[in-house]
Amino acid sequence: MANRINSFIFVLFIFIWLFPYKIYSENTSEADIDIEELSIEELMEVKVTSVSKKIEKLVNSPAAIYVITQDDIKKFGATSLPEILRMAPGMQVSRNDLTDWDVNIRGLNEFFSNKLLVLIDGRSVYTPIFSGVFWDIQDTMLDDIDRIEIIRGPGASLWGSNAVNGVINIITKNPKNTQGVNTSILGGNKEITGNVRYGGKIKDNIYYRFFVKKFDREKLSDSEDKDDNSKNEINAHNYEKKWVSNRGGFQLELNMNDKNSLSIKSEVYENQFKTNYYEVSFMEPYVFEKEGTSDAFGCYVLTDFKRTISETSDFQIKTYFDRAEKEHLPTKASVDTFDVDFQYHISLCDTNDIVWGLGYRYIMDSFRNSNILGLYPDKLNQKIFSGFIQDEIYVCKDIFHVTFGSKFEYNDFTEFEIQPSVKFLWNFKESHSLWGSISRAVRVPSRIERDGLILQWYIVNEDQYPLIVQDEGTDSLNSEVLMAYELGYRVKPYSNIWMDSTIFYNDYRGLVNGELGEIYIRTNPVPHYVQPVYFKNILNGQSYGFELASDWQALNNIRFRAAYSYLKTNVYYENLQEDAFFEITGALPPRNQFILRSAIDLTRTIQADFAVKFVDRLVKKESKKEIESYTDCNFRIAWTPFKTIEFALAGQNLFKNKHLEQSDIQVDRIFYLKMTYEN
Amino acid sequence: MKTNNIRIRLIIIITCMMAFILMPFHGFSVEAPEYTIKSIFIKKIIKYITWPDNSFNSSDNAINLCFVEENEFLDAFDTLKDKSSKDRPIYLKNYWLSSQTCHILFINSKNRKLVESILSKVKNMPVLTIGEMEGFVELGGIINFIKESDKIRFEINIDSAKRSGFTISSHLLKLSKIFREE
Repeated sequence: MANRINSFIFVLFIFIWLFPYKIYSENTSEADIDIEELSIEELMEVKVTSVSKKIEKLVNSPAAIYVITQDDIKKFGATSLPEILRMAPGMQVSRNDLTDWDVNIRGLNEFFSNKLLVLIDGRSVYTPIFSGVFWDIQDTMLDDIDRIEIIRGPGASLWGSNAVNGVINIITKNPKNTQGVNTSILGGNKEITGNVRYGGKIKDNIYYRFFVKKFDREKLSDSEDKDDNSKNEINAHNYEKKWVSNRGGFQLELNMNDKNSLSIKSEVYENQFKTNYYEVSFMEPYVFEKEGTSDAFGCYVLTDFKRTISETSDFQIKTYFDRAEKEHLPTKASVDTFDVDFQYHISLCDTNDIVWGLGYRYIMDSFRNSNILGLYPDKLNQKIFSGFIQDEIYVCKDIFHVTFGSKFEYNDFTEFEIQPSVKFLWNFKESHSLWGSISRAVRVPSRIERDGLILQWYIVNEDQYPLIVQDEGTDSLNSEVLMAYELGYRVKPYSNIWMDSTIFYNDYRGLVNGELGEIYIRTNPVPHYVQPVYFKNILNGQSYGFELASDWQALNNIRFRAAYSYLKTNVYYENLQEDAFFEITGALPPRNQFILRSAIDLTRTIQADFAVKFVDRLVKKESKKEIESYTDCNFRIAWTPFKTIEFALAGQNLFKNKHLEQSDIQVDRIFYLKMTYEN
Repeated sequence: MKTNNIRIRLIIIITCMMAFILMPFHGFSVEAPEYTIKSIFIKKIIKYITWPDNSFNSSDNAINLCFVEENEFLDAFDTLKDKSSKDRPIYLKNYWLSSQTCHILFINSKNRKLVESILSKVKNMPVLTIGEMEGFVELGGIINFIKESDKIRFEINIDSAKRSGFTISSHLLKLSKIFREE
């Protein structure tokens, strides 16, 4: 029944989505107001378009780019970064637990989610420990985000290794554009959040802002069917899980003159949540559950200097130091990163646009080992040297461009890596463009894959020694390699409609997975058997799919945006050529995903926003269980009685009380009231 | 399950109804790029301003609009240039290169020192100075564009306009924020 309703809604939205073209022709005159004919009084009511020229240029580049603006973030009603990312096509976001999300682009959600690069103001938040992002410690003041650029497909030729499946670039506003006070308080059934930001200026060209943010989030619901089969299993989540976070930041911007600018940014945060975890011993009761508090702490300082040398050339030097400490009970990882990047851009004779750069990164990590997860050695210093060059050639200016580029990187781990790409962009008719690219990208193995020891199972035998099954890192690992082929088409048939479609084919080689080794006996601290599972580059895989995004300004006060993604993946053993799906960790990704958003200005002071999302079923490997498809919606209604005050009532997941997304933790219905004062 | 089903349908129906009810509303938020709005403002403002006698020597009555920096403003003006209108023709000139008089000088710079030095050069001359920097009218500029909650507004320094011999229609003054030098 639920499935039928889902498919009904799905068809309905596809229909609504295709509908615009018909209506449009009748409404041309309304939608296409010639602002030149307006009087001065009317002109004073015209809003300045929020889409900057930079975004326009970005959108017209040979890559699958989607931009989420501040306005989109506000209207979507989400309160955390991973939830915001659901808006973009090709993006898979699923919530596993209160503090845990799987975020990925074009991949098996668990299996490929280590191939995504995430940058906040140019600072990489990808952790080299397990090749991924700890989403629970990535946050900032959401009202001060300028935009989020999401690049699907490899961005390795510019950003380097690990930008395999995509790049997420979170960019905050300049202090110049965040002057004055912004304070908001949000209270709802699952969270309370408070934000304060103040921006000011010291002199005409020196601006600053600082902010503090605090939130307190409630636990998610337990699985509904726990009284059926899993009744006797230990319920790991039957506790009061609370998540508290404190964060503060500061930014200073100096525009020394028109040519030079310097920005200094710093942030400190601490996170804390209650959690249950397991410990293992070689005596009764062997495996036991403990309750604890998981702490995280982090801070960074970033400086960014930009200089315009002439109309055709400029350069940028960016440095940052970042410290992140996070407990993953009973273990803890601390990572210090120091990074310097230099980038130089020059336009040559109106026919070439060249960017080149150099980078150096030094990473110091330290790990608190436990007998279920450890790194050997537990401290390691690594360095990465890199350089890149990219040349965009205007074969026929504004009509046909070809871009060549490559990144060259040296790391201590896999040593020399080359990641080239070739792209073209063809504006074959006004407002129609076609682009394509072929690129090679690599993912360097994580510390865990090289030096880790992870206990998977502990089996107690009655009359023999106990058996331990453990994953063991191998230092002979190579990088995983992707060859990606993409083709995209963008069209803007009328001034108020825009559509973007992309097809892609990804070919992965040498994906890392466990391979069974020989059983051996270990005598310390008591004799026991060890079944090692070694990390090896033993899998190959392909994935293909297409993505569609559209934007339709139906009337001046009504706007619709939609995104659809189709994805199919296949992973198999290099030697056996057979489907390895049931052998590997992870879940098959949702084949179809759809999101439709509408934004309506009811009156000058009231806005109503609605979003419906559909996510196809997931098949999970471990349990061979299926997670049902779901259709859900977000809603927000905002009232601005005065210029400076806004009240918003918003909700997420309103169709159902709870639903499953990836793990056996239910994602609940969320609603809140938010009051914002901005002056 | 049944109640769930009905609830979903209800929500869909309400949404569709809302969408249709709302259709007739329009005209709330027209959007345009910043410099398109500014360029149209300049074209409109001209009609409400009288230049001192003998400002236009040639017969075609064309207005020389000078700018200080190349930016998107010029692109915006270019797209409007072709449209036929009864207005006076407007010629775009680079202030630094222009040997001719500038009737309007759009000081599209936020560099205070630069703005100050240009303003002092054209002080009391029949040049309509237009700026887009905070404190522009305080420095003696005549018209300044300001951005207020994503909308473009303008302020006028009447004293400075008088000194340069301009007559500004009361209609335009009513719409602007008036600045007086005390």
